Amino acid sequence: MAQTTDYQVLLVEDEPATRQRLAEAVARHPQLSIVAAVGNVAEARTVLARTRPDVLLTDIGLPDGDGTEIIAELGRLGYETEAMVITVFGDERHVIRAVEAGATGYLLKDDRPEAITDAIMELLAGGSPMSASIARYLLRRLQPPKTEALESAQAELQLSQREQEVLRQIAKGFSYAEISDLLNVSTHTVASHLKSIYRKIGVHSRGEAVFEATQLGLI
Amino acid sequence: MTQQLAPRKPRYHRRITLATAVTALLLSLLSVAFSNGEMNQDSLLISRMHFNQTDATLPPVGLEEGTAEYSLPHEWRNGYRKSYAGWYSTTLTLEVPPNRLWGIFLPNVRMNAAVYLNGELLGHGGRFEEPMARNWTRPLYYTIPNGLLLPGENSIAIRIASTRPGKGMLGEVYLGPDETLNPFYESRFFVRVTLLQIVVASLLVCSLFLALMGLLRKRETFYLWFAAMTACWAAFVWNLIMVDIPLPTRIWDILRILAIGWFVVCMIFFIHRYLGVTRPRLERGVLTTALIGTGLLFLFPTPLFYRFGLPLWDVAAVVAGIYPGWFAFVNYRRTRSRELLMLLICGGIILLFGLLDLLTILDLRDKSWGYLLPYPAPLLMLIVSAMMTLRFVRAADQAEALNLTLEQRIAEKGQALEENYRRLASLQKEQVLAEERERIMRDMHDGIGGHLVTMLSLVEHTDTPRQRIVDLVREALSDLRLMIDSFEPSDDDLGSVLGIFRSRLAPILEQQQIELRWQVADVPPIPQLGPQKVLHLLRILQEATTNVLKHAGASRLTFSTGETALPDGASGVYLQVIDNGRGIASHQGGGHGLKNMRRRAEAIGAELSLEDAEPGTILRLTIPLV
Repeated sequence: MAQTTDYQVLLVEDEPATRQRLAEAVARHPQLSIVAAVGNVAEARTVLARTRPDVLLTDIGLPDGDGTEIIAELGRLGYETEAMVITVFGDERHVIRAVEAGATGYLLKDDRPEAITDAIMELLAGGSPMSASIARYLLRRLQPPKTEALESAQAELQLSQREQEVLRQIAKGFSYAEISDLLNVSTHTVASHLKSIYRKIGVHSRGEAVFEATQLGLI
Repeated sequence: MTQQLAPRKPRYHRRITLATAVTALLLSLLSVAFSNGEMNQDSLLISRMHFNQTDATLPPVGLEEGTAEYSLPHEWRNGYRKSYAGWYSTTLTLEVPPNRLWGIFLPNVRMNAAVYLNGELLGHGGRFEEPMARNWTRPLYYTIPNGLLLPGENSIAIRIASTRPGKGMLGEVYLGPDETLNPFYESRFFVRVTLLQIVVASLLVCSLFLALMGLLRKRETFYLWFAAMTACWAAFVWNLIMVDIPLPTRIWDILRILAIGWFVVCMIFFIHRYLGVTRPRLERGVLTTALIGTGLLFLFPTPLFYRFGLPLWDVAAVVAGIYPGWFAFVNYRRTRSRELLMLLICGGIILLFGLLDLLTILDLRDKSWGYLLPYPAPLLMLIVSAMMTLRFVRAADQAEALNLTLEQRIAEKGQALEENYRRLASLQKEQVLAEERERIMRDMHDGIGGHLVTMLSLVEHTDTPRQRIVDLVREALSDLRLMIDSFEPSDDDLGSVLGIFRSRLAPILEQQQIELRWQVADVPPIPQLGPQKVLHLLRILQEATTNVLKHAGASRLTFSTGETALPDGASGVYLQVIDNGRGIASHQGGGHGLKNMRRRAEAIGAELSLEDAEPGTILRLTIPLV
């Protein structure tokens, strides 16, 4: 490893054992370091007030609030910090909420240490990991609306044909490499499509994600 | 609604009764008003005259041969070979001739009269030649020019001519001042002519109205029959006031009595339709008889017609007229319908007047009263028209009420349906919830519960290898994730289910350095791919993958989907898990694994098969698209 760049990671997790496990996994990586490992929203805010981490890993359900509040705080502060949520199940409800709040992916609490750091590094390298369930959720949002709430949500989420195609393949479980083969494009192109999709959701979502998700019955 | 209608019913009948009473009262007042009042003292009633039946057209001079004296009113009905006409004459002695205008008034003549005074013609009732002018009901009045009445003897001669041989009549003859006689004449004229004109007009209007009603309401043909009845009656009454006829007398007389006969025919048809009874044989008989009779009336030689045809027809008509009356009466006794009672009263009045007129026609009654049948017409028309209008109004009311009831019933039905639907929906919801609860309980029991129990027993043995526990915990977690994944909406898409499964599978395969080939093609939606089916599907995949990882020693795992035909020809979807490991034995060696997979496949209506791929195994799941 010739890289000298050291990426600062803020970890927010209220369960001490898990926090310790995750912190150790991150710290073991040569290019990552833990700037702080805290257990609630307030502490996270304090940390953010004095430092600007490169990566935020946060649980969603915290004793004094919601992980998505911290992600929103990033946007408010104007930080370009990449955010990921940590969940037990990686179930759609939690993940989508986080993605709409501005997160770019999720980690499972029981993921192996290498899987955790791999995901973080991929994120930092400009990749935007997207799971099949997120893709499927987005695809559903693109479908003809069944309710007015969905209609307004869809109206602002305008994806290109190619982006939709990529989403469809991801929903079916294809990896980025497989998609680039299927669509006859480079993996880089697939990655940039995904980035663009995330940006569109993020732009649309940051402010109103919680409201929106409530409207859609996701929360 | 019917409860609302019920008390309204008698009100219609009260109105009809009231209308009948009022009309009867008016009629009697009219008859009193226009009855022969007492004449003033200054006019003269000539009560006796000489009569000579002769065809002579000029007034007699002196008493000719065959002349006899009769008291007035006088009719002659003396056979059919004698003359159509005759002269009445008398002398009137005045000491002083009147110094003001006088007149001579003949209230009843049959059929035509010409009045001469001292050889001078004062006036006549119309032409004497065929077809002769008819003065059935018309009173005649002529003024006497000044100076014609002389002091001493004045001769009065009146020529009376009949429309048929051997029959004629002269009623009373009044002579007196114009100012006395003229109002008397005028009131007579009003009752005998003007009133009948009004009757004819009203009958025709009535007939037209009812005919229109009948044409518009084709199902209620009795309107048309009543219209025809009314028209016949109008024709009959019109005949009475028609003085100059456009046809030969014989033809006119036939038409006149046809009106009476066909009135009765229409009445029979009307009462049948009105009461809703069908008697086709009787109706055919009546119709045939009437048609034959009509033909015969035209075929009879004139004398025979007048002698037999005409009275026979009239008698037949009156007798036939008893039938509808009797029929209505019988029906009334059964139903006690007020409507029928009204009809019966009207019919009774018609019958009474008709019988009186029949007596007149058969020369059994004094002709000076004239024909009475026309007069009850307005009363009857009024009543029957009112009845029919009310019947119409009632029908409309009932239709409205029915509509209202119908709307109400529809609303009630709709409400009941909605209620039912709501109950059903809530029952369904409860059932779905119960099923879902049941399923989750079962899954917890089979999955996480079992895992926890196993883990507990392993942890209790301190010598259990740590890795064994870690693996078990991971297994339990991933099973829990399968359950949670199964709750995600599948959109009936097999690809989505596989996509989620791959998210879970990929890190494990990566760790074990097993190559994953993903050949998931688009397949048609699988109907009703709910959480339960999804979980079964995910568990089958999980089980298959675990078997491969644990026992097959494969280096490659391929997932593929596609469309296929089922053995019975129906279309289906296949899902294959292909490994390049040790072959079928590795799957069967998994103990309960294969049995579990088959059970789950059966639960989702799919077929599970294993086949040697040499090397490796193909696990194939075929899901029907129904």
